[in-house]
Amino acid sequence: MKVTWKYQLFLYVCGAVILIYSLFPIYWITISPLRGFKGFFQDAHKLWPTGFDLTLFRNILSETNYPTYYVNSFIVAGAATIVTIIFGTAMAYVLTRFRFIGKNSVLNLMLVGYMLPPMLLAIPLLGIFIKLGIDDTLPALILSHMSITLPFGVWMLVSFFQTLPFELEESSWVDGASRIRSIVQIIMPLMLPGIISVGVFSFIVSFTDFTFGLMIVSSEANKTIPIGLAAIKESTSLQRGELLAGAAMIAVPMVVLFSFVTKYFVNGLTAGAVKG
Amino acid sequence: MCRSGRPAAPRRRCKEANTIEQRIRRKDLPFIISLMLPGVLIFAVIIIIPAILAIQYSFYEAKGFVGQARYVGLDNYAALLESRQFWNSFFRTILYAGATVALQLVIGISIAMVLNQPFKGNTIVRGVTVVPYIIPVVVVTIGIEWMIDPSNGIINHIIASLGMEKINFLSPKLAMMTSILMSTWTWTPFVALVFLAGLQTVSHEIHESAMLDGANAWKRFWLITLPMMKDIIVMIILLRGLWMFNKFDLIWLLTGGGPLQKTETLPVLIYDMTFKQFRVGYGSALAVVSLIVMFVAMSVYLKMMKESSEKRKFRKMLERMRRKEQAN
Repeated sequence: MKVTWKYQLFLYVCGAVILIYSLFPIYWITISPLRGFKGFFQDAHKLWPTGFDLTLFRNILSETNYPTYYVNSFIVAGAATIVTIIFGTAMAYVLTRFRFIGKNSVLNLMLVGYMLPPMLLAIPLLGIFIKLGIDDTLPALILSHMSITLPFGVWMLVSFFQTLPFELEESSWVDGASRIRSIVQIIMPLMLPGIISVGVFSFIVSFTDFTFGLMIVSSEANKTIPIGLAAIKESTSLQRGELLAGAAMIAVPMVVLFSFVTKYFVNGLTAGAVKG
Repeated sequence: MCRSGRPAAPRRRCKEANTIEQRIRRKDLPFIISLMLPGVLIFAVIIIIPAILAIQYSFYEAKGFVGQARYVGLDNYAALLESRQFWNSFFRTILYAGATVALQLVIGISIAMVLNQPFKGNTIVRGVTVVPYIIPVVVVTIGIEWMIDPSNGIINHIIASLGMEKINFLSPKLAMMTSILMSTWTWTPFVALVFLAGLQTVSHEIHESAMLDGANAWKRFWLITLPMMKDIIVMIILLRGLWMFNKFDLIWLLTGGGPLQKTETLPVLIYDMTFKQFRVGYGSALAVVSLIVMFVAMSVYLKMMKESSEKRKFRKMLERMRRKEQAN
C-alpha cells in the first residue's frame, strides 16, 4: 500500500483528536486544583496551567480521612488480586488440563457469573455478611470484589492456557520430575503473562469499584477511595477545589502506573472478551 | 474446547488444545480436588448462593436486613408490574443502554479503524485510549461535573465565548443526555480495543484485491470490514448492552437518579428501594427482573450465533458441491 503524505497527516490529526478526547478530562482534573484557592475560579476559563499551588491538595489530606481511604484501597485491591490469582490459576489449570464431565458447564457458569448484575449479588451478599458478622469490614469487601474478578479471571486464564505447549510438562515427567515440580519450574514461567494480565485486571476492578463498596462498607475506617471521595462530595464541608485535588491524586498515579502495564491489560481484555 | 480459543490462534492450535486435556486418573484426584476446592467454595459463597438467595428474597417482604421476613409469594412481582415507577425506569434503562451502546460502537469503531493504521506514535495513542476505562467513575464524575459547571465550567466558558447562552447540563431536560454522553466517554475504550483485536485478524490480501477492483476506503469499510466483524460486533453489543443496563455508579454519582427522577434507571431504583427505603424483598424482585433481562439477551445471542454458524456450514457445503461439479 502506497502511503501518501496527505494520508499520513490525516492519521496524525486523527491520533491527536483521540489523544485530546481521551486525556482532556484528566488534564483538566489535574491542572484546576493546582491553581490554588484564588486561581481555581479566577482562571477557570484558561486552557493552559496557570499555577502550581499545593494548598488544596494539603487541605484534603489534612481535613479528611483521605490517607486512610488510600491505604484501604491498596489493601483491598492487593488482597483481591492475590487471592484471585492463586485460586483462579489453580482452577484454570485443572479446567485446561483435564477432561471431565461437566467441564463445559463449569466454564459456562463462570461466564454467567461474570455477567450477573452486580445489584443482584450485592443485596444477598450484604445479607450473608451480616449473618457471618463481617459486614462493614475489608475482608467482606474483598470477597464481594471477587464475585467479578474470580469468574472473569478463570475464564481469561483458561483461554490463555489453551495456547501453551503442555507437552513440555509431559516430557519433564519422563525425566522424573513430579507433577508439582514440573508445574512450578516449567509451566509457571509460560503462564506468567496471562497471570499478570489477570492481576492487572483484578487490581483495577477492585480499586475502582464503587457499587459493592457503597453497600457493604459504612464506617469511616473501612472506606476505600471511591466511597470516601463520594462521601466527601456529598458533604458540603469542603469546596470544589479540594474535591478535584482528591480526584487528581487518584487519576494521575493511576495513569502513570497503568502506562507500565497497558499491554497486559489490553491483552487480557481482548483475550477474555473475544471468543471465536 | 475449540470454541473458547482466541481467534488469533490458527486452527492447528485447536487440535493441539485437545491433546493437552488428560483423562483423570485416580492418583491425580487429591491433586485436582485441592486445586479446585477453594475456588469452587468461594465461587459458591459469593456467586451461586447469593444468586439463589436473591430469588428467594424476592418472595418475601422484609423491612431491612435484620429481623423477620414474611412470605408473600408473588406479591412483590405483582406490585412492580403495576408500578408506574418501575415501567418508567425500565424503559429509561433501555434507552440509556441502547443510546450508550450505539454511541460507544460508532466512536469505538472509529478509534479502532485509526489505530489499525500504521503511524508513528500509534502505541502511545493506543495506550492512552484505555485511560477513560480505568479511571474510577467517581473521579470521572467529579471532573466532568466541574467541566460542565453552569457558571465556571470550561465547556460553558467556551460556549459563552462563542456568543451562545450558558447551558445547565444537569437540568431535568438534559440530565439523561449528559449521563449518556459521559457513560459513552467512560466505556468506549472497551469497544475500541476489542474491535481492534478483531481487525488485526483480518488479512490484508482481501483489502488489497478489493482496492485493485477500485473499491475506495469507505466502500471497503462497509462491504468488507463490517461484514467480517459481524460476530464481534454482535458480541460487543451483547456484553456492553448488559453491562450498561446494569450500570449503577455513574448515574448515581452524577445525578442520584434526579432531577425529578429523570435519570432513575433500574439499578438506581433497586438501590433506592433496598438500601434507602429498606424494602429488601421488593428491591430483590426488581433485581431479579434484571437477571431475567440478562438471560433473555444471552439466549437471543446464543441463538443468533448458532444460526450464523449453521449458515456458514451451509455455505461451505454449497461451495464443496459446486467444486465437485466443476471437477466433473
